Amino acid sequence: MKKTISKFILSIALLALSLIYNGCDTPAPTELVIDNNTTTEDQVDVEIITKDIQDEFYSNGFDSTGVAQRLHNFGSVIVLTGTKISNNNSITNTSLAQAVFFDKTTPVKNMHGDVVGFHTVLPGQVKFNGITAKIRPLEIKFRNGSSVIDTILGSKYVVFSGRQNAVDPFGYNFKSNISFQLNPDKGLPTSFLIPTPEKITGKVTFNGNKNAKNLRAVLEWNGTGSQKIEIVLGAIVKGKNISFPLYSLKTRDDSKFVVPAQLLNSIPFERFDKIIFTFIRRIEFDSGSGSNRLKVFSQSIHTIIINI
Amino acid sequence: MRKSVLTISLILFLYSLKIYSQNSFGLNGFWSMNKKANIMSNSIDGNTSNFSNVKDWGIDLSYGGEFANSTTSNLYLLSLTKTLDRSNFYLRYTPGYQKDFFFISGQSFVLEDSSTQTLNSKFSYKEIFGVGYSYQIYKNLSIGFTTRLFNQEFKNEVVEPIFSDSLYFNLKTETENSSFWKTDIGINFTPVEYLSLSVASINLIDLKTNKNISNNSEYEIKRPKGAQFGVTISPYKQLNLNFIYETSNSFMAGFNTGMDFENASLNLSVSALHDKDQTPYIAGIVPAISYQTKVFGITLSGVKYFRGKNISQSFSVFETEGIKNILNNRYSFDKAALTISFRLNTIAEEKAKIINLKIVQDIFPAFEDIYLNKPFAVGKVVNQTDKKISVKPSSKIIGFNRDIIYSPDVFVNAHDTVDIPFFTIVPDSYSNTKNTVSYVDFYISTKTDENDDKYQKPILINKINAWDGKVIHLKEFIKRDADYIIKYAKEILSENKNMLDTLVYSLSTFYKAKILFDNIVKKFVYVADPNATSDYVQFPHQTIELKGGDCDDLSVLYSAVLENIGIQTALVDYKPDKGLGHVNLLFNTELSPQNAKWITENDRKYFIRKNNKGEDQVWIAIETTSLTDFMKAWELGIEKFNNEAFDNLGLAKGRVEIIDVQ
Repeated sequence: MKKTISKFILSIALLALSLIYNGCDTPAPTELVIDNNTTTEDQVDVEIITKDIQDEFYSNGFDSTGVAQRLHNFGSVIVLTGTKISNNNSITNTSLAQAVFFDKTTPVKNMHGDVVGFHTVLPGQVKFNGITAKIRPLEIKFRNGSSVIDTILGSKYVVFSGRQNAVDPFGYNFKSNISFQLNPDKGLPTSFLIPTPEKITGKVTFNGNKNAKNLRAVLEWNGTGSQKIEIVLGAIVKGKNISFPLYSLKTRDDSKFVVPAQLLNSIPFERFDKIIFTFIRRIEFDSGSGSNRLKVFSQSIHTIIINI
Repeated sequence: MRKSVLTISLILFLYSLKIYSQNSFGLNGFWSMNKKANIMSNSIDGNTSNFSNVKDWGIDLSYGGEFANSTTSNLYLLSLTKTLDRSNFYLRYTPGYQKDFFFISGQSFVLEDSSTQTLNSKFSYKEIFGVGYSYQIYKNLSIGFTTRLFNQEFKNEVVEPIFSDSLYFNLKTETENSSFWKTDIGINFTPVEYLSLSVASINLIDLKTNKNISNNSEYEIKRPKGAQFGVTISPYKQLNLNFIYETSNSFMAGFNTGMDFENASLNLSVSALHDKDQTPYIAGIVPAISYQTKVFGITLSGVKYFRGKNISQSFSVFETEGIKNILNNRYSFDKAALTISFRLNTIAEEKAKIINLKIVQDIFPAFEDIYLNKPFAVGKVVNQTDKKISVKPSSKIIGFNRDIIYSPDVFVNAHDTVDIPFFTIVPDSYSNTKNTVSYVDFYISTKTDENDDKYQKPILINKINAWDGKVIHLKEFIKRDADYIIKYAKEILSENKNMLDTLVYSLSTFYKAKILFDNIVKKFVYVADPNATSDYVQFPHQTIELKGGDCDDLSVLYSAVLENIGIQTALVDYKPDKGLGHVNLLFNTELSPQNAKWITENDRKYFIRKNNKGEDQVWIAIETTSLTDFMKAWELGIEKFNNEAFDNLGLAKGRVEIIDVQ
């Protein structure tokens, strides 16, 4: 009798178990939200800058003038840049102001019909901080089928100082203003102040080992806590002085950023022997309207070149 | 008074300690760690020492729901427990002991097609199964350990840059996982009935079996070492106050109460938990109600947190604090669980126990009927339950009883101790002529087929003719050999039928007695006390066959002969001041006092006694050792009787006792 009861109870238990087990869900998860206090998980937008790393064409413009700013993407553009380049123990500071006025009615296209730029115009005299800008050719390179085309889109206004051959008495004053003045050949002169950001000074600390694929780069800078900064991660081809800007990383200007490990460790160090980190703190705004509408960039750049 | 002082001291002691956080939360509620607790709890959550009330086999399953934005259902727990003698083994599978987190990474990537890819991560923490063992050192002290296997899995979507002819991003999922065993030990102690104490380690041994964690090590379950202390106070039978706290920052306090029915109980438990990692101060409440029978139990329990139900939480807090407990943490949702318990008892529960046993009389095989009315042993038996039970005693004298002899059932009140008598039956076939020492197995049971306790004692089994010297016990010898004696008497009487037929009916009894006595002694060759000891009595047929005996043997024989033809007899016990006593016989002539003159004119040769109908009748004394003839034996017998019983006031003083054979 006892055995019968035991078997009965056991049967009920097994039946209940099978019914219950088949009706099970996964326990409800908790959603975690990345907030400002998160330390291990930085908010960052990552974009590939140079898709074709075999082509030296894409290496142009990296070092000083706004890197991937495709100037022709804008109607007319003013770019002011204060640059610091740290390469081993040498530091180079440069200041650059340039203005380009595109004629959107005269696009330049490659053989596939893609717009690679616009011809430019020179509307009159341009002054930065009262210094008359020099007129220089705006050169671009673009791939046209199997060949690389060098062409001049027109002229641009440039004020530059900082290198041996730079004689303009122009200095990019940080956390200040730079005046812009356009005296057109026709019409009334235009002038306004362009604010400059606080100077950015970065620092890169490595740990780990590139061969073990556990290289970790901690980037630190004088954060302001406002807006975002852009960090460009690039590399220099081994034995050549050709640099490729690889990724654009946009993150909070909060003084510290850990480069996602996979970005760093996936770089083929057999091809690249130097890594470049470019810190860019930028102010951008639009000025004017209609055909006189200008896109203005004012940026502090610190580029650090590291032998890896 | 002592109880109050102890209680207050304990509360003060606990109050003086820092209260730390919560690790001992259990879904089935918080029940007292007491053998007499209202409920059979079967969980190792908060019960590190694997303390168990399960008598034999136990199967438990807990199924329930978690109330997040939507309600999910889970099989929380399936467990099996087995008690073997003093050991308890526990095994559980916990598919519902799982906590998942997911979050969208702060990283977004622009892919080749210009779409933006955000990255998801999912962290899963699981307890896979647990085992426990406990050993009951003493009735009130047990020690044990539990060990549990945990698994942690961290899945992170990552974008991997691919450098080939061109540079592009490839989306993939990286998985890291690790497993570890967490082992702890604990002790449960019940110094007095109303107080139970427990102490246990927290995260004492942390053994990693699979560690494949490099990037997510900071998200592993935090396992700080510590200890937990528990106390149950039972101020009343149906009330347990429970408190448990941990040196890693929390406490749990609650009470159990219940009602007992005939074969079931309804129990309630409510407890509150405090966890320093959770807000508010009392983070939640854990109610449980349970209905239990001996074989089946159903418990409805749950946890209600007092914080708001927020399914989105800060990642930064998570990465800083982590979790210490899968089931109960700052991210836990309200839960409800239905626990179904099965108890399969294949071994008997020891409800009653023999604590002492006394043999009150040795076995005299001749005294058949005595052992049916008077116990040969008395056991002191305690009822170990809190219910009135019926105890069935039984015994078997080895080499004497062929079967177990059952004595009448005895009711014993809860936790009461009573004397239980054991009776026996002398087998008809027993004929051992030597004294032997044997053993008796005593049993008590509260069920029909299971023995609760067993006890063994030596016992003296006397030879078949043994006598304890008590004249009253000679009746047991007189009753023997009835068929033989009837045949023997009838043969003698038939030989004297003609003479008897001529008598008036009223005198037939007297003359039958006379004829029988004269015939017996006529055939006897006097043997002067062949076994002249006080512990040996011949059965009637033996005296006939031996043709002699002492006063015991002859009185037994003559009484047996008369009784078997319907003549009332009585033994006269002449008790000596010292040394051997003497026995002779009275028999009822069935003559009325008025008719006594038909047998004698001497009124000192008889005396008047009432028969078994209350009528006055004439009795005469016979000295059975007088082997001359009836008249002489009568003369000697009545002389002895008158002298001792009346003249010396033997009857009044109790030195002479008349013992009716029937």
